[in-house]
Amino acid sequence: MSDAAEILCERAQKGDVAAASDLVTLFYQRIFAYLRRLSGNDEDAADLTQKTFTRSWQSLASYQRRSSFSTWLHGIAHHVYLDWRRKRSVGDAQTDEWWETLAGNSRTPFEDTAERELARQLYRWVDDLDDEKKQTVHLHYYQNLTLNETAEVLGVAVSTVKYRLREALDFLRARSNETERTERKVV
Amino acid sequence: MNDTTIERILFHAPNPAAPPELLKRLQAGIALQPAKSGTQKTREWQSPLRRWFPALAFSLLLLSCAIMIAVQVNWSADLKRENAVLQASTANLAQLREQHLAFEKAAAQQDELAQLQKDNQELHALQAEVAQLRDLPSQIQRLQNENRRLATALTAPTPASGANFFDEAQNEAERIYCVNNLKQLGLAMRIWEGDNGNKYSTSLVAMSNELSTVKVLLCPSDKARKDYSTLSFGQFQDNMTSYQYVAQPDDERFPECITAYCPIHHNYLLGDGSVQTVDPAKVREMKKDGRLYLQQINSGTGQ
Repeated sequence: MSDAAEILCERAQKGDVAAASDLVTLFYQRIFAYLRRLSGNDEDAADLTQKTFTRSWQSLASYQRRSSFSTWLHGIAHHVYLDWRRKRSVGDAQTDEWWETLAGNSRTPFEDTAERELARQLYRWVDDLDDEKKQTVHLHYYQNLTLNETAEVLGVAVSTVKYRLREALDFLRARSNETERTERKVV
Repeated sequence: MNDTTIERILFHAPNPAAPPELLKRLQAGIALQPAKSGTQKTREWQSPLRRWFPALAFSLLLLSCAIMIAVQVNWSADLKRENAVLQASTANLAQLREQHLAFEKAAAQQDELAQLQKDNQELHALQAEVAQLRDLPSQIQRLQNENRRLATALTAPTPASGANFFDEAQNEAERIYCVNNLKQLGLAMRIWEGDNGNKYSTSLVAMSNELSTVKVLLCPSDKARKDYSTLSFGQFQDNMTSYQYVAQPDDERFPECITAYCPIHHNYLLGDGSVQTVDPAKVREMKKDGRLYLQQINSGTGQ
C-alpha cells in the first residue's frame, strides 16, 4: 500500500485528480476511524476528515517524502483534531454503548463473550488516559503506526513514545487487576 | 491480564465505519494546487548554504577556540617570563630580609628616642608648672591681704564728709543726674520758645510735648517727690516739680539770668541753656530788673 500511495501521491502532486481520488479512497476510512474515536461522534469526525483532506491538498505541493504519505496524513489529522479540541476545549468521551455496538458490529478476533467484555472495558480505560498518552495509544495501537511513525506524527522522540506507551500499559494493567480483584470478592 | 493480552486487544480495536456519503464529499472536495516552481528554485538556490551551514558553524567555532588557545598560550608565556625575572631579582632575598630587619630595628629605636625626648620636654614643663604652683599660695595670701585692706579702706568713713565712700558716690551720681535734668529742661524751653513766637513758657507742665517723661521734672535726691515719678503729664502739676521755675517770657535775651534751679544741689539753669553748680557759701542769688542772677559773695559778680 505504501508504494502505491507514494506513486499516487507523486501523480497527485503533478495535478492528477484521479490519483488524488484514489488516495482518498485508500485512506479515508483510517483517518475517519482515528478521528471518530477521538472526537466522539460521526458528524464531527466527518467534518474533521474533510478538513484533513482539504488541508492535505493545500500542503501537498510542499510534501517532500521525508516520511510516508500515511504518516504525513496522520500528522495533518492530528493537528486538525488538536485545533478542533482547542476550540471545543472539552472533548466528548465515548460511551460504553458505542464501544459495545462497535465491537458487536465489527469483525473482531474476540469470539469469547468474556474477552469481548474485557476489550470493551479496556477501550473505555484508554479514554480515561490523559491526552498525550491517549493520542499515542490511538496512533500506535488503533491506527497501527510504527513507533517511529507515531513519534513523527506527534512531533516527539521515539523514546518519549515508548515511555508514554509503557505508562499507558501500566495504567491499563493496574485497572484490569483491580477489576479482577473486585470481581473475585463479589463471587 | 498481562501486557501481551492488552496489546493484542488494543491492536485489534474495532474500526468505526465511515458514513457512505463521506467518500463522495471528500472526492468532490479535491482541489489540487499547482506546484510552485519559484519556491523550488529558491530552495535549490538556498540549499548549498543550508547544507554547508552546520559545517561552517562548526569551523567557525573551531577557529574561535584555536584563537582563544593561542591567546592563552601567549599570556602563559608572558607570565612565565615575568616569573623568571622576578625570581632572578629575588635571589638575594635572605640578605634583603636581614637588612630590612636591621632597618626596622633602627627605626624603632629612633622612634623610642624621639618619644623619650618628648617625654623629657614635658617633664621640664611640668616641673616649671609645679614651681609656679608652689608660689601660688603665697600670691593668693598676698592678694587676700590686699583685698582685705581695700575693703577696710572703702567701708571706713572719710574724715572730711563723715559719710562713707558709697554714699558720696551716690550723692555725686544724683547731682549729675540733676544737672542732666536741668539741661533737658533748657533744651525743652528752647524748642517750646521756637514754636511759640520766641517766648519762654511760664509753666513747666505746659512743655509736656517737649519733655520725654515727668522724671525730668524731679530731682533724684528729692525723696519727698519720689512717688510723682509714676504719674503721667495729665496728672502732673506745676507744684509737684522739684525745680524752681523762674523764667520770664523774654529771658532768651538775657543769657546770664536764672530760668530754673534745684534748691537741693544748687544747680542753676541759665538763659543760655547752660547749667552751673555753685557753692552756696560762695555764690548767692541776686534779683535785678525782676530777674535772678548769680553773684559771688565776696566780689559781687555773677559766675
